[in-house]
Amino acid sequence: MNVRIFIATTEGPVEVQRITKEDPDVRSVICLDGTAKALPIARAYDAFVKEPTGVVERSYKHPSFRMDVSAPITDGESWQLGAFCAHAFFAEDRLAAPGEKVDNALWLTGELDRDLNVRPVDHIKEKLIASQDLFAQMRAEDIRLFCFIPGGAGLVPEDEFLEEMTIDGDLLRLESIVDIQRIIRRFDLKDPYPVVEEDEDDDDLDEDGVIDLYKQREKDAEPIKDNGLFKSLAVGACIVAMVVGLYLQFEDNIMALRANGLKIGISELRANADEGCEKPDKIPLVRDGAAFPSSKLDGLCALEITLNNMATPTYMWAFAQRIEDGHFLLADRESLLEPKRQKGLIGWRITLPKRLSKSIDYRLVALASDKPLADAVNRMLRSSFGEDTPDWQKIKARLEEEDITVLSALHSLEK
Amino acid sequence: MSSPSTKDAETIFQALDQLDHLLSATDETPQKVGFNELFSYAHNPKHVPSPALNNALMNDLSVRRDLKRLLSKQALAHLPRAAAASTGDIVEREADGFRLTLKVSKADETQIYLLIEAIDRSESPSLVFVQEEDGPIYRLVIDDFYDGEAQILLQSDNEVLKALRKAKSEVILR
Repeated sequence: MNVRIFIATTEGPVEVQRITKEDPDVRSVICLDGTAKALPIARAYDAFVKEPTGVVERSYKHPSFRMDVSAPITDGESWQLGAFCAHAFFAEDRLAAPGEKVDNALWLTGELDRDLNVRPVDHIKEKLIASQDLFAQMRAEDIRLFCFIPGGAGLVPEDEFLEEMTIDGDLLRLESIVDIQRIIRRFDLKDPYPVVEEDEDDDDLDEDGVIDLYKQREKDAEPIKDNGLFKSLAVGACIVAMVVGLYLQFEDNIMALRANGLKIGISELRANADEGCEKPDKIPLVRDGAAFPSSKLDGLCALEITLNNMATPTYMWAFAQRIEDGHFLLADRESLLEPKRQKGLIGWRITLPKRLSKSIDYRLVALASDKPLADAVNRMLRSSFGEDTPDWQKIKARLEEEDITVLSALHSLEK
Repeated sequence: MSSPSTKDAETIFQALDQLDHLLSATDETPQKVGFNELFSYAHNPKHVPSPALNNALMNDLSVRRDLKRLLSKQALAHLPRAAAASTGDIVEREADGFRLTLKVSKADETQIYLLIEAIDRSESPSLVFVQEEDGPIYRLVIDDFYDGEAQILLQSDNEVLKALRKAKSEVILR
């Protein structure tokens, strides 16, 4: 049975009437009641949808949507929980159209972070009060309405207020949540970020046999994961090894690229003769011109990529992109979502699947600017969509025109 | 049959009547459009044109000519009419560092996205003017040009959109 979704606002509930996949060249947009009138939050919705800042594309693999809603949503971020859940039901063809007979409806308010945790929002009481007519209508139609609000101290209204609102836990329920998992489980939706079983080696690979960028967080620690004391020792040893390795990289000028005090570095983390990938040996690569020497996949557990900013603090972003088709192997979302000036060493680890089917040539790119980079990166990504392989020279030239320092280096993983 | 003198008198009377009609001010007489208003219309996105200006832009060739002169001096970009080889509706124009693209909404085929993109320009246009060949000049406000691009959703019967689709229309960004 389909489900109706209402986004709570202080002006009253706003129903999500329809979601449509749009052309990837088009920015995502929220429109009013099927008309050509785009709402003021359309830009924020586009950023909420599109990678690398957005979570909808990450979860449902499409970069551009149009959402039609029944009434205006003017500002704020509290629409995000409702919008995401609407996408979750739409992805399974379970989003009800207006007036469609349903058993259940959802009323939601909350902001989402990139891990789909629900963050606090204001005016929850006002939103509940503004939705009293909807509550009465749902009750009259015998539709069970679930109200989801962020969890946290002081966010759940007191019992007397809930009684006044006739929130009885039966036809009208109110639940506070810290992430979307409860909604996913209750309504039997597919988990947008499923946990990968450690035994399933090939889950790291997409259908083309390449690394899936967004599984790396769960898999990052896998080579050094174990239980009990050994785990602590292994983690400690790895941290020490990483610090020593990075120091060596700096001292020996292993990562020789210089531009405005910024250096890119790559280190191999190779299976130790005794400990395997649980305690890998770190081997910094010495850059040769525009490229680092290629790495043999045999015995390679992971790659560590570093940026060392020895100049003044600046906004930075890094990504690794497969040359063949532009597929992203690594992208630092955090520094886009929470931009801050950084200095010193920043590192990322790409854990490699155990069975890679083919060699990979990729370009490692670092961007630095005096301004936050999210907008320029979004623009770059949009221009990269399409069937053709992205033209790196054009992308680079355009970034440089925006006074962004662009450093890049090539590296290959060889079968 | 009228005598020649009677016929002349009738002709003279009709001529004088027409002259009186032309000289007398009535509600239907087009009001003169001042240069200030025309200038505001060409430059200020917040300017709301008066009915007199709208009427003049539709019917008065000299006002259209004045507006075009103003725009040609102040244009950020001029996207001329499409190449003669173009057939059918135009869905993309590119010139002077800007690209305009039309994309049909997959949610509703009667709604069209107009994408305006600065390819290698840093300026932000705030107005689009579209002139049909020997026809009126339409104006569209860009109220959200940001990070080198804007997106405006239009109904397919929108006059600006219809003009944009014609190969012989010219586009000026201001």
